[in-house]
Amino acid sequence: MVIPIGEATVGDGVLLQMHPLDYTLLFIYFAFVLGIGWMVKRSIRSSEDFFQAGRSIPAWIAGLAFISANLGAIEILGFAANGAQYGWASVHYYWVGAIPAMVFLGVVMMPFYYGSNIKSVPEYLRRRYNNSTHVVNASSFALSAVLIAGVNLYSLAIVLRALLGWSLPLAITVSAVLVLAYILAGGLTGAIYNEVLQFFVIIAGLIPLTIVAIAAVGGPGEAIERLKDYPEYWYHPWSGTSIDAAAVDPQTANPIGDWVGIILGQAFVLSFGYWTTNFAEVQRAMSAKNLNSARRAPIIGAFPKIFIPFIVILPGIAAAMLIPELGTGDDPSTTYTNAIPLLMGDLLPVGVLGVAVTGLVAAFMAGMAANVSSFNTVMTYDIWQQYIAKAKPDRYYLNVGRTLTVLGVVAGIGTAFIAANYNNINEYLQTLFSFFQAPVFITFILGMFWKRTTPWGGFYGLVSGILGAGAVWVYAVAVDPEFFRSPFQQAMWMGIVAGAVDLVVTVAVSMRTTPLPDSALVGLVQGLEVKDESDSASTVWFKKPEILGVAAIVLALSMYLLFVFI
Amino acid sequence: MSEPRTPDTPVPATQPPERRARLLDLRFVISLMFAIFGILVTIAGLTAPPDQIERAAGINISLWTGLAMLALSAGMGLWLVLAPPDVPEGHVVDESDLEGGTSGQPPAAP
Repeated sequence: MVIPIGEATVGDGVLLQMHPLDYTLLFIYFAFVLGIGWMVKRSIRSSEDFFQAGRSIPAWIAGLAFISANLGAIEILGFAANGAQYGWASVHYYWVGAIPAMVFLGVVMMPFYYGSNIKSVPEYLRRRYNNSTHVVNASSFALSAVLIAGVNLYSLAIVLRALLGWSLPLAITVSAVLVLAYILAGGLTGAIYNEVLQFFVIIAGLIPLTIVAIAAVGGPGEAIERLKDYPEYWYHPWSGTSIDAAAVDPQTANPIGDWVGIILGQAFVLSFGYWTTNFAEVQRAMSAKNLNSARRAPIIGAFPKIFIPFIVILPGIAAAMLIPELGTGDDPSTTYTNAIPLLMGDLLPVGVLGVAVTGLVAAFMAGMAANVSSFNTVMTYDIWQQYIAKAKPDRYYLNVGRTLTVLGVVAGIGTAFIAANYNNINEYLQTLFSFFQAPVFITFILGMFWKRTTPWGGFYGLVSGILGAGAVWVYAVAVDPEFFRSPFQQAMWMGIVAGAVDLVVTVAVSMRTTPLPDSALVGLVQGLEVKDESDSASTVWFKKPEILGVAAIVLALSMYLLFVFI
Repeated sequence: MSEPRTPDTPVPATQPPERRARLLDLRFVISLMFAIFGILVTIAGLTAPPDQIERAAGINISLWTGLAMLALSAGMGLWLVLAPPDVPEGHVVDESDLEGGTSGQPPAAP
């Protein structure tokens, strides 16, 4: 998903009336953020402590951090905007587009990540394939993490300036220094502990906002009645998803896409790629204290994820009903992205407003910190230790990691400023990184489940998949701009093509090249897994990832039944 | 884990290790912050002038949010009491931390 950035995107023209009490809440939160960094500082003794949280985090903390790392403010504002523009249609990104992938990570893939003792997701590719595959993945991940961290920081600064009237340099300094402080002091543990706190603050801000917004529409019954004034996909998210819907009637065609794109492109290739191979996410689960906890972490995160649409998409829908001018005209204060800030300003009283603002600020910091803490790990272990300075004492890598943390934040600020001043550069960069991400899942899944996959099969498959995604993009931009009904549908089909090309090329090259011997694949491939005693047949049923995972998927899919009654 | 750690700030010797471990538990931090948030926002709700309630569609949302945050705080606190952090939770509360902290001397690397 491309993240909007620019002077007039978020929050413009929505200056909030903050009472001293609201500011007090924000500053108390800042104090706790720093306090957590200080609290875990003394536990950082080795690079393993700093980059991997000492592989010691309990499952519930890793699980909530897993979901919080994804619950950045750009996600919140973005899905509220989708709600205001398309109603419930974008709920697919949660119920089919996230939950199955999170469960798959826990049930199927985590044993390979955790059991093989790797420190990062790119490291899996180095050990399973070769250095070439590794460099492509590690460097594109590191670059995109810096960009996304910078975008989060810059967007936070813009929001603070617009909502609270802070100057841009002040807002950037305050937020960058806070995030830097707790990551430098506490490493991944500092980031994860803060993410859990952020999770609760975000929820505490969004639930009251949603309740008040629905009440302002006239209550749930009235809100459901008024949904029927909108196109059907607003309240029946599968309507208008036939392949030819856009050709038959553009008015009723589901803007999110067609059912093949939603299921095969989004729910399978793209969502599995994001949730199971994006290191900013997977790192949280890999920090858990044993294999069973690591496997349960993403599934524990899946349960709150099922309900997040009700506090991000729903307020967006309420905003569309309450603020008729939303999304119309040229007034920058009524863009769809402003749905939540506008509701906050219109509806929230003293006290709750402070909680909601704090939640929004926390969400930006979560989105930034997850990328910074995964960036420094990949840069240190995968790039620096592997290709630049091998076999130094542990203390050396700890220092490299801290230095790279500072450089990453500084580079992020720089990238975001440049991107904001040159329209579209940011958008092109994010599109470019999405090419790199699109086929990755296929390369991992073949590596894990088909022992015959060879190092060069993996490399050429991955690179061809990236080019395949690029080809779809070029076609859609340069040859036939009318081909896809929306950027969502285009991204889904980029995923399908990238995955298919990757699959075909990997298999074809693997059949003609030499596979690695079993001895090189221990812990990395099905049949050669390494397990620990925490995850055996005697585990109690409510700690079994398989049982929890099936429950999460059944619950997520049954949520669609709610719409039957509308 | 191969590096000796640097000396930390000494811990007041009056705190028994279990108590210190509890204070360093994330559940305590969450409980404490939401207790403060809950009290402040509940007071804002109790003293809310009519226009503040009217603005939120007639709901005293600050009061409800404040009470809900107090409930979250109590829940986290109760969980901490019922399931104390006896198992080392990270390196935050493990034995060497407590000994090293109390004496002010870095213990030998394990």
